[in-house]
Amino acid sequence: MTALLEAENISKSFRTASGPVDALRDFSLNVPKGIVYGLLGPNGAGKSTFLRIVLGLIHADRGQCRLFGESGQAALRRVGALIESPSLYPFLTARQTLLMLGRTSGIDAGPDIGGLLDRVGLTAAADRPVRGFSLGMKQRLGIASALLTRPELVILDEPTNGMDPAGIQEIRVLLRDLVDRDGATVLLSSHLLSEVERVCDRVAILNHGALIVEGVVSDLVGRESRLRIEVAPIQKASEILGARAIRDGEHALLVSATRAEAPGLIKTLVDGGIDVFESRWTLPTLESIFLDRTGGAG
Amino acid sequence: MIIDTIRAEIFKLMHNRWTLFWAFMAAPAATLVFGIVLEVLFVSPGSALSSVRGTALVQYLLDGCAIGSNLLAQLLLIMGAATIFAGEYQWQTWRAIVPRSSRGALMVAKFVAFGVFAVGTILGCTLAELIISILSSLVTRTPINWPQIARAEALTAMGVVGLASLIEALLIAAMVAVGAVLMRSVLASALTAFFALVGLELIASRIPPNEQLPIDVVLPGFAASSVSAWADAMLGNSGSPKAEWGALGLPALGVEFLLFALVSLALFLRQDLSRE
Repeated sequence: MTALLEAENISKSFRTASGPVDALRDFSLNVPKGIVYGLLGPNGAGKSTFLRIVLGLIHADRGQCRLFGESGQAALRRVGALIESPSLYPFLTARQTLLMLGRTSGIDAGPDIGGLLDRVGLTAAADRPVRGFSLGMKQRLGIASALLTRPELVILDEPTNGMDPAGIQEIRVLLRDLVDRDGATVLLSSHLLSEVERVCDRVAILNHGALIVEGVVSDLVGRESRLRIEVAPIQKASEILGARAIRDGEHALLVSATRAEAPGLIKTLVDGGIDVFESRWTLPTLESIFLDRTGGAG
Repeated sequence: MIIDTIRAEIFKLMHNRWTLFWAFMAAPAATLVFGIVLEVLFVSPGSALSSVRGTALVQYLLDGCAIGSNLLAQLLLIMGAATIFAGEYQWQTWRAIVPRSSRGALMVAKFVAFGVFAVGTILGCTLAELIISILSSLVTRTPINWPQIARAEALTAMGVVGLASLIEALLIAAMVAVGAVLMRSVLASALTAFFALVGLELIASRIPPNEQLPIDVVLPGFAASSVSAWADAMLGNSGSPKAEWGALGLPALGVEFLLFALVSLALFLRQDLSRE
C-alpha cells in the first residue's frame, strides 16, 4: 500500500521552566493512501506536535517527514488541515474566510464555497461574521477550510470538539465519504475512541512521545481478547497478576492472556487466597486497548 | 503564488474595518478636521500668517506627504502594523495560513499590504492638505499659486518626500514585525515599536549638530526630516542644516527597513508555532 505520509525517527523537545520536555522520541509512522487513519494518545502524548511538524508549523529536532514522497511547501498544497481548535478571523464571514484562505492557497475557491458550506451544514450562516459562531459552527467552518483545496490528505485534529451528537454523526459520515467517494486519505486525531473505532481503518497509539501500538483496527480488537475475572480482594489480585491486569470497575480485572494460560492464572489467584467469582473472555474495545497501553492516562 | 498571498492579505485587511479606519484613514481624517478648524478659527483675512500660508500650496502638500512629522499618523500606523503582524498570534490563525503558503511569502505579503494602505494614508494626508489650502485661500482671499505645483522641482520634491514617508512607514512596520514575532502580542509589539520610536526621536533631539559626521542620519526621524528639508531646499526655500544630509536620508531609511524586515523574516522562518 502506498504511504502518503512517511515520518521517520522524528524527535522534538521543548524547553520549559522545569527543563526540556521530550514531545516526540524517534517517532516513525506511515499513513497509507485511501483510508481513515486514527492517531490516539492521552493529553501531552505528542499527537498535536506531530501534526504541527507535518504541516510545517514546528521544526523537528531530528528525523524527517515526507508527504507524497517529497518534503517542502509544494507537498503541503495537497494537504488540508484543521489543527486543534479552529483558528478563524472574527471579522470575516464564513464565505469570506473560505475565499481568503483559498487565495492564500493560490486558488479561486469562489465557485466551490456554496457546496462546501452545504456539505458541513453552514449554508444558513454563510454570510454571518465568525465572531458570532458557536464552537461547533467554528469546527464546521474549520473542516470546510480543510477541504477547500480538494486535498488528497486531510488532517483533522479533534474535529468534533464542541459538537452535539448529531453533529458528530454528520462528521463521521463526512469522513467516510471523503475516503469512499472522494478518494482522499484522512488522518484523524481524536479523544472520542468509540468514534475512532467506528470510522478509522487503522490506528496508532502514542504515549509519552513514542508509538506504542499500530495496526488495523479490526486486527487490534480481534487479537487482543482478554479474560475478565471478578475477584476479591481486587487490590491483592492486581498485585499478583502485575502489569498484565488492569481494573475494569470495582470488582473485576481485565487480564491479557492466551486461552492456554487461563487455567494457570485462575489457579495462581486461588492459591494466593483470592476469591474468584466469575471469569469470561471479552473482546476488547479500542478504548480498553488504549487504557491498557497508556496506563489509563487520558 | 506570492501575488495570491498578497491579494489574500489585502482582502483580509479590507474586511477588518476597524483596523482599516483607525490605522490608515483616521490620520487623513484628523488632518482634515484639525486643519479646517485651524484655518477657520485662527487664520483671518489679511493677517501676516494668511499671506504666507495662502500662497504656499506646495508647502501644504509637502507637509501632507511627510507623515514622519505627524506623530499621530505614526502612532496609528504602529497600531495597524501590530494588528497585521501580531493579529495572527492573537487569533491563532498562523496555523490556518502557514501550511497554505510559504512563511517568506506570508511575511512579504504583510509588508506589501501594509505598504499599499500606507500609500493610501500618505495620499489621504496630502489630499487633506490640498483641501485645507483651498479652504485657506477662500478664507484669506489669497490666490493659490497653482502653476508652482506643476513645476518639475515641486513634483520631484513631493515624490521624494512621499517615498521617504512610505519607507519610514515600512520601517515602522518592520520594527513592529520584529516585536510581533518575538512577543506574539498586538499590544506588546505596538508599545515596543512606539517606545523605540520615541526613544530614537529623543536621541535625535539630544545629538548636537555635526556637519562633518552626520551619524544622526541613521535615526529614522532625523533621516525623514532631512529628506523633507532637502526637498524644501530644492524648492528654493531657505534650508535647515538637515537639508545637507537629505540625499543620505532616503537610503538610510531603506537600509534600516530592509534590516528590520530581514530580522523579522529570519526570526519567523525559524519560529516554532507550537502555540500562537
